[in-house]
Amino acid sequence: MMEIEALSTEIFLTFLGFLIILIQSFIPKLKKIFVPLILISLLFSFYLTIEKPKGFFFYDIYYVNSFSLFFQIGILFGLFITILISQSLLKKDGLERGEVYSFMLWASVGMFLMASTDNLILIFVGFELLSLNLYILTGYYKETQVSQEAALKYFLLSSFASSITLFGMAFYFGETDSLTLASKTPTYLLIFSIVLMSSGFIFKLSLFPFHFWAPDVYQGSPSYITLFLSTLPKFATISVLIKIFYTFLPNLFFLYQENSVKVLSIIAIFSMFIGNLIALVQKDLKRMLAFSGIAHMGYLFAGLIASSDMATKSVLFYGFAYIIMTMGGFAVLGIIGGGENEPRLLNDYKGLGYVYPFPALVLTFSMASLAGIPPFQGFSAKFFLFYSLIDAKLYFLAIIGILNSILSIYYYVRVIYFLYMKEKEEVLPLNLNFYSLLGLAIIFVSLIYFGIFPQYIFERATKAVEVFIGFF
Amino acid sequence: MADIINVPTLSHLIFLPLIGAIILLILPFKKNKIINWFSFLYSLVPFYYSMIIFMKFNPGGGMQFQEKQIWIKAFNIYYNIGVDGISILLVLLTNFLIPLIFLSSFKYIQEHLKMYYISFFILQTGVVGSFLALDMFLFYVFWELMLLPMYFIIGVWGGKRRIEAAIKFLIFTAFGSFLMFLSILYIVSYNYFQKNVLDFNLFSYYNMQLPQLAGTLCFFGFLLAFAIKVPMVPVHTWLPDAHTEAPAGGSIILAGILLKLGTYGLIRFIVPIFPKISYQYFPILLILSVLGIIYGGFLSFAQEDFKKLIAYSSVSHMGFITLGIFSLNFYALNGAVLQMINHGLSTGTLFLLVGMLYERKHTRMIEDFGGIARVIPTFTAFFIFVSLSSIGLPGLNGFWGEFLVLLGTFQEKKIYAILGATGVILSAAYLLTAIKRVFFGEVKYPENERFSDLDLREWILLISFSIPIVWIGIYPKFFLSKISPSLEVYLNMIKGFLK
Repeated sequence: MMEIEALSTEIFLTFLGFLIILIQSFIPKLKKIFVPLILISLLFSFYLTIEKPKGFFFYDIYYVNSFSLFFQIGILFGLFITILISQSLLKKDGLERGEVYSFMLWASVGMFLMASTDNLILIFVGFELLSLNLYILTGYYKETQVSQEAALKYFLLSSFASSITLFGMAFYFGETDSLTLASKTPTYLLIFSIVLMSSGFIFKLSLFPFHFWAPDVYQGSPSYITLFLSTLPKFATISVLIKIFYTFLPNLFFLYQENSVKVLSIIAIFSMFIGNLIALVQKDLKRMLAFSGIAHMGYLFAGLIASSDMATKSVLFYGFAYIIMTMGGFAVLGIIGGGENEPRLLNDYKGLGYVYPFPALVLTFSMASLAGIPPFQGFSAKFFLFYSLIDAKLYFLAIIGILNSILSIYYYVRVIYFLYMKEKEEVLPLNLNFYSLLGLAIIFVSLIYFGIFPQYIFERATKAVEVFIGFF
Repeated sequence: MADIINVPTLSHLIFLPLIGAIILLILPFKKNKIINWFSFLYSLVPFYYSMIIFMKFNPGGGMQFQEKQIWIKAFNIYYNIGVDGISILLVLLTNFLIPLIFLSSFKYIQEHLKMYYISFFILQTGVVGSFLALDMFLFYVFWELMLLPMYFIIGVWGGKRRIEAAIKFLIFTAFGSFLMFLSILYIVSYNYFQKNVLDFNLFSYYNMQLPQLAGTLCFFGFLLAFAIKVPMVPVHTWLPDAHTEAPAGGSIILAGILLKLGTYGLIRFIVPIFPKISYQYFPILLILSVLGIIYGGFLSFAQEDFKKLIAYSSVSHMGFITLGIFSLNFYALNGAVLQMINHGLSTGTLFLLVGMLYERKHTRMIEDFGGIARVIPTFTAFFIFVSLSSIGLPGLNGFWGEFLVLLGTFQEKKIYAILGATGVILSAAYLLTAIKRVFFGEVKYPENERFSDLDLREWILLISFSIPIVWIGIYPKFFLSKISPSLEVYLNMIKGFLK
């Protein structure tokens, strides 16, 4: 029974997904209740998740502790905002069907699993459950070519990455005779397997050198899917990478200290530079945010390299902040704008700050937050992260990170400049209803509140990491 | 509850403007007149409070009105504020200028009025907070809080090339402050390794012992942030653009207060945190200051745009302040702090007056005027009066600042004082020449005959500015006595560090 309780949220969300599909197929008239139903269920899932019994279940392959709970709550929070925002956008294009919500719910179940296990098979099952739903979601606009292109690109590249991960896992099993992530005496084959495994996850984080898919896929898929795709999967993947790095990096450091840090730093530094430099010249806002996401993952990866306790806490905080900031950006891009198959050009947003004050304000704050300007959440996140980098004596990474932050200010602020300092020409339509307004309000409040009072989330992150240290 | 309302605390000074901004954001005011008057009257409240605090301020009492409360527990960051002789006048000046800026904007600003006042209120919170913060993290938060509002003020209500100027301002300032951020993080983590406590309290870092290379790099990280704000010579290029393109109110607050944050940072952060390293670099910094004085003066001389002329004269006058700070002399330091106030008043008023001229003819070129003294005599009288104060005529405020700085510098390093003194002559030269070309001679353009002289609002504005100008000029002791005890303690502390 305890085991069922430990999986309660996952089971609940899975069946909710089925229920929605069934309603959609048999009583399509009840379409209207989807969003309230899901929102109430999500609130209930928050309760279920918090009430989960802690410990190890199913022969120790599934665990519930503050580490997994941090991610599960974060994912639920992100999902909540996603559902709030998506409804009005789906309706606008006449595509409101229950399946979208079901896919999102199931993808979240996959992420839940990734965060709460150290068994490679279960990680892979979660990872594939997530990816499978994402393939469908990116291709959801069947009629439009861009969406199809994005879906195909994503499917081909991502499944390739997944298979490499699986390949690495097979090597891992062959070398260690176990499927559990645990500290082992490093051998060349083990290192090789870890490198292969990590590549798949690094692909999901859209880090250099596996970043090419991100701009095209983000641009091609509708805003509310991008909102989901660009934040939560990355957040969940971070949990896996933390596990891998925490388990193996100390040993690797011991043997090949210099080189492993160097190689990983190259990934972080190139991600930052490529993300920021290419974002500077983007005219499409979705692409710009995609490149900025690459850069942000670069900062975050630098924290992962440090893999000290402080750095890991900061990475958790940064991941959470990244969800809110990026969601703010994409949410407004969906809410102000035409059909989802139309591009989101910077030029179209001229002077809209005065036409739609509140959504524009949310966009402004998200951009300021991404740029790392206080008092927004992105600033606290950067503060924690850069402090932990210096604390871990990775000065070079910290300096590169700061220089990149300066670089990035230009393109974030350019959005603000188009919103408020240009004369408006043609006014894009607004797709705001009660739900999306609520979603924007949640983003708005969290951006400021968690920026000024980061204490609460940081404490959660601290607890998460503490359990985690004792665990390995 | 009564206590909270009756006794103004420093938190009131910081957060009242922010509350004002929120009220403006929420309340559905539509009419420009109501927004104007609401903002103006509301901004008088912080001014009134800061006057009470100024009156209660005890010169010999060191850091006062302190408030300390834990903010971010995990990092031991405190909400820690306090005021001493170095900051008290600057806070008063800030809260004095804001209502006047609002009053001056009644006619000038017609578009997006609400946002204009909101930007100013947030800016005020940032500025006052930076002057009062005693915790480095808190300081940095307030310091960066000023970035976006000022960007908006220049970018939305500015002149033709406003976007360029706003971006330039933003990139320069952000560049400096991000490097300062990195330096703060480094010295905090270094302190953590030494003492095993995370500490963001500013005073724990006074006379910080750092390894040579890291210390020098951190010193430059801080210096760049503040030098850009001052601005000192090689990094001053954003200032003329920002000043020229900003609306009159923006120029006043930029010249009056934002630049002072740079010099305040030099006094409060750089010299005490890195006393030995800054002592090594003092000669270079002094040369840069003198260079600023002379170079700024010469550039002013060549300007055709009135606002640009005053902008470059700011570079020159700020040179005096940095000269006073880096001389490490009691008189010079007193002069420097007083000169911060003086420059805020005189240059602020000059920008205001140019703004008034702009309202009359929508041009800032010196060429486009000429002989208008006959048309608008009172305006001319005020202009000459303020210019003389800026030049440093004995009996007006500018004299005391420059005199004390030069006196103190002369005691320490004669050559810099002699070179610096040429700045006084230069400032007389460029301002008087400009006055001659604008106000005297024949009326060049017939349409200028129709200029109206000062109306009631302008009278109130100019009289309000003139009171402190004359007050400081005639009886500087009233203000100096508030600041000099703190400065004496400060100077002894620095000299102790250097031994």
